[in-house]
Amino acid sequence: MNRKELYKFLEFLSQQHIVYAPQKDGANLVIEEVIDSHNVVLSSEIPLHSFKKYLVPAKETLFKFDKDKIDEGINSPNQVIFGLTTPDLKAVTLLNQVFKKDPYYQERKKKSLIVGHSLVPKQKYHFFIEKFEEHTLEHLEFDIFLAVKGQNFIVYTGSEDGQRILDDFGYKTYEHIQFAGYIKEEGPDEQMLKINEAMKQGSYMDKLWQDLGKICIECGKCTMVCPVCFCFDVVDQASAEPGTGERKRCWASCFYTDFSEIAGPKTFGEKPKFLQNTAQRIHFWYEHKFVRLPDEIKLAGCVGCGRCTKVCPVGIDIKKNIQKILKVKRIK
Amino acid sequence: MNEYEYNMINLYVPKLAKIINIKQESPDSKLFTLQYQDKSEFEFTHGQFVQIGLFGWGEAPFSLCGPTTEEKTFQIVVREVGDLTKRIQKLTKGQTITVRGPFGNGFPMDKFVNKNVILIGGGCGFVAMRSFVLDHNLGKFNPKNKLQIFYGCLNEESVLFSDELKAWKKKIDYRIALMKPSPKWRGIKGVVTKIFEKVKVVNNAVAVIVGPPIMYKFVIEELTKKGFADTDIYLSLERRMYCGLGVCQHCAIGSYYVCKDGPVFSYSQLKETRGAI
Repeated sequence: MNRKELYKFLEFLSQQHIVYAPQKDGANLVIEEVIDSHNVVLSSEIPLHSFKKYLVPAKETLFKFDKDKIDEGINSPNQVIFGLTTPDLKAVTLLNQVFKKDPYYQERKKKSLIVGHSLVPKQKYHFFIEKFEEHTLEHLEFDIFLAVKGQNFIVYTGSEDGQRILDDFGYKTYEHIQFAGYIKEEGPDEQMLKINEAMKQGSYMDKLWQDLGKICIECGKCTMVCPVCFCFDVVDQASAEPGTGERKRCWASCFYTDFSEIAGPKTFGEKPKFLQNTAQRIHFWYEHKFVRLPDEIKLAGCVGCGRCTKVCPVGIDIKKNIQKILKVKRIK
Repeated sequence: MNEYEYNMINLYVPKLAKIINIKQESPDSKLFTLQYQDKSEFEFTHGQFVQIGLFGWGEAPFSLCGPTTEEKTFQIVVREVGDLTKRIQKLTKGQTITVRGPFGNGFPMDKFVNKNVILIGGGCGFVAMRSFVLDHNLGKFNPKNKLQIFYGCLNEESVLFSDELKAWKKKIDYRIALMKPSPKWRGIKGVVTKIFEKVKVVNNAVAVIVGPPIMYKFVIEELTKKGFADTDIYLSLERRMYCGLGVCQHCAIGSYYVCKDGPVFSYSQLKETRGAI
């Protein structure tokens, strides 16, 4: 497929879908709705904000209530999320696992066409990222994948939906990749297992976390831009009419002090909570990514995109911290 | 994208339950008896919890505290501690609330075989133990196994299930300590660990502790002194929760989720996890 055909394909997609793709917004690359397909940028740069909000919205309605009546509003529009790099495809693959039994996510996923590409980000912020090779594709979930070759693209499909849409468009020379499960034949990622082990032997009392606790200002930006961070609150939003409203699921951040608060008598004006200080909270964030997710689904909760490092106002660098986690030698 | 085989049951949508009965248990706590509006059965095991809610006010976790032998009705105790509980306390018989669950693992009943049981409760944590107590008194367990209860409470007024005690005491070694009793009180005065100084702990036993976070450390110390192994001490933990399904992360501790892997954990599971207790 050449560039000209690609623009045509984008226009074809936008006839029946809302298409989201990387575009320039000032100096930043962001994933936004495509109005003019010529604005779509496929580059090795990772967009500042991830595709996340299109699969796990910042705020979504679980159901509407009217007195004792419940109206489940599971419905989402047809959409294309176009131009994901391989780290972001890894994040999609992970979210697919986490929300495997979630009807809201599954409905959105069913209506979404995921199109990835092979440009590998530069190494300044990024890590964990393998060079693109065809065999890595069989462990990622996508519908269509564009392997960049000079000015052209080699087209792969990863699902029947992907094949169908290319057939409808009239493009025949694609190759189908059969999904072989998200864990490679040789087993879970070794680096991930090492970090998991090191994290389990330590605690938030370690120097690394105490030091980070002193500089982190708990702004929560890292959790917003992270393509994997998915924790949420469930809140009711009342409408003007008494007894009516909506129950909503909203992004949460484990850096905010109310995250672990429970009901009970206040001490020094504060409700009882379990994550008491910044060191505990930042440790909790790493624990989710490198302890809980690997234990649960054998995938690291970090895809190495480097967004958190890029946005951190106090210069906390996840790559350096992982090196520090691995360096600690423990005497048993 | 690839289709998963998945169960389309939407676990976020609650069922409606009708309030069958309300009983004032203490100045700030009420015992609610509930039944699903569609009259369907409610099954649970000791130590499990439900997400109880009111539209417009959200949900919170509450311990189930009725006997497991009831097929249709189930019970919770609501203590007024926040906006939601204040609202629930204002409800009257016949009104509805929302229910999701039951959630959690419950008491490790397989570990209780041929063992005596000691339940150590503090404040409203004691609520989570009542199902087990009621089933014990109904003769659901091996009559050879003894049940002992150590209960720590603020004062005479705040003692929960006080009008059931007479019946309980016939079959249970029930001991109580009050922190701030009236001058008339002749029993043990102080925190729950005071009871260990005055009363012999039942031997060959498994212990279950439910209470405010501060209590655990001290009670574990006492039990360890009495020779309890870490694997014979169980704790039921409280955390902030939203989903109840092990996804939202609010109740996570180390590699566990309190909603899914708990709320009941053995001390040996939690010992190495800093911040758990």
